[in-house]
Amino acid sequence: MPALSALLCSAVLTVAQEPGSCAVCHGREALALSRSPHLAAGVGCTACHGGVDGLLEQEAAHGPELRPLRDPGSAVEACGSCHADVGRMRTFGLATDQLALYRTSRHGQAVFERGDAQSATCVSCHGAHDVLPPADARSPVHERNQVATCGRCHSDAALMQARGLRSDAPELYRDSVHGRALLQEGRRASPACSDCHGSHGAVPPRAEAVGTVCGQCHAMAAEYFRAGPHGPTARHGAMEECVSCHGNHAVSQASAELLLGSEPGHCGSCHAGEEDVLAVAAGIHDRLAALDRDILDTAEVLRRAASRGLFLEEEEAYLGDARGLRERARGMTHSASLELLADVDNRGQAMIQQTLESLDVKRRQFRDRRIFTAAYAVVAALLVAVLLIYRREL
Amino acid sequence: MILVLRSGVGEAEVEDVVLALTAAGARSRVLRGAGRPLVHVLERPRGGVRRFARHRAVEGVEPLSRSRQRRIGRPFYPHHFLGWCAAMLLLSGALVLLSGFFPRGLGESPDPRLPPAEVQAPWYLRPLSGLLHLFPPGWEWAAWLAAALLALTACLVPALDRGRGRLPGAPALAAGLALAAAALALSVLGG
Repeated sequence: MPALSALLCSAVLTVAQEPGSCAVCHGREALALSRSPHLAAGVGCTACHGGVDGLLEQEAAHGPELRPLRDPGSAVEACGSCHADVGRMRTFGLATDQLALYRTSRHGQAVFERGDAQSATCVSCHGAHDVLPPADARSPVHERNQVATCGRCHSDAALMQARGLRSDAPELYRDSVHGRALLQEGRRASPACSDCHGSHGAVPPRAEAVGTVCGQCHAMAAEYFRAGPHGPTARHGAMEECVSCHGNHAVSQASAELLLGSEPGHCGSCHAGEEDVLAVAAGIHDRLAALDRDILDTAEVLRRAASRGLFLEEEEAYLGDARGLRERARGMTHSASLELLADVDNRGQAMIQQTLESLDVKRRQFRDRRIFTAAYAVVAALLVAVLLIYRREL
Repeated sequence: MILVLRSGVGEAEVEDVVLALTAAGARSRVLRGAGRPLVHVLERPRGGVRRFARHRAVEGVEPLSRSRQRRIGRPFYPHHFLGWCAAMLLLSGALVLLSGFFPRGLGESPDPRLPPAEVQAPWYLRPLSGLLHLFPPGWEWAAWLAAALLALTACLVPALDRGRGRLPGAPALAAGLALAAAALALSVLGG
């Protein structure tokens, strides 16, 4: 408790450097504000809440202009009064379209059109007084915290059910390949909620826009998909682009196995009975699987050679090229074209062959090196023996 | 080797043995005062020293025992020089053999995508690399000079032995151990 008091006093003193002294009564809020970059930028209590600076008597300090900002719309407008102001934001290099985007979002529509008091506003995601930059790992909108922040509402079954939305999306995301990469492995290139849904203009991607959203990262797959036979089908709304095969929140690690079988998302689930289509899918699968297997086998051969003392940077680079071509081949599966894939697959196999040939040269060099060094050691040992025998005669 | 002469041999016969050795290309010296005279053969004569056992003045041929060596000494050349050469050959042979079979460095294998701040030398060059690192940039010549001096000192220690002990093997061993310790320390310090 004494520590808390000291902390509060320190915050009070910090905030009291401003003309207003709201911290005398609102210590907790003042403490939160002291951690925010707002205070450093000169944005104190009265900038958002109104009131009169420098007065310690409550009624006079609050004055007739006090804004409690308890209703969602007024809170959004208060934030927007600065954050939509180009002149003010230019100093900080911040975007000024958040308010406009928010108005177009489902959250904004719920607040401004339906007066939904439970819809997310600025403070729901960013916090009220202790707002931190999104890049700060403690911020609730930092990419690693987004699923928890969005999940506060979107995991609430009652809240979501009342609005006709599913409440399992955050959980599904956590177990997905994207969620595991970001939350467990810390790979920041993996998407968080806002990367697909947007942040201030949060809307679910429409069926025809899914490819564009996923294509932000999976550009090659999106390109081949649009150029392939599925592109026109998706444009006509007969399939949901990426989601039809990979799902949305529960995206699992894509593998060539999707090309076989008739489980949901697999080729056979839509193309059952179309033997020619399934034959192409099986052909693509076989080529990909063979390339995968050859790369794995070659990597094992390199690992064993390296453990024997060979320097294999060149061969690792060749195999890296083969891996790059395999990734390209994986992207090309979205074109559903065996001819296109065959070209990349052949180049991948050529790189594997080059890796093995180069390794063979290194092995021969290593063998020669061992023969020569062993020969030198034998000659040295013979000379030593001769010298010692000669010395014995002395 | 020591030629033990028969007791009571005269000076002329001793001289004859020495002359025979000289004719066979071997230096020798006569040792007196230990009862019967002895001839210390300092170099290997042509045909070997054992053929002199048949000389009428010679009773037998004995190797130079350590106790006798301690008493009468042994010239540096060729005895200890040959030992030193054999040790150097053995060391270089072992190093070359090990470097041929275990060429890798001691650290992680290099990653071209994440180049290390400093490239490490293979293990057999780590002492030299460590010595180079002890000197500031531009003073590499001093590092090479120091390495040469260090090696020269280690090689010359047995030859420079002026102690009363007549077994240069002990200082040579000490010099070898000191050199190995210095190599290890340089590998660690400069690594």
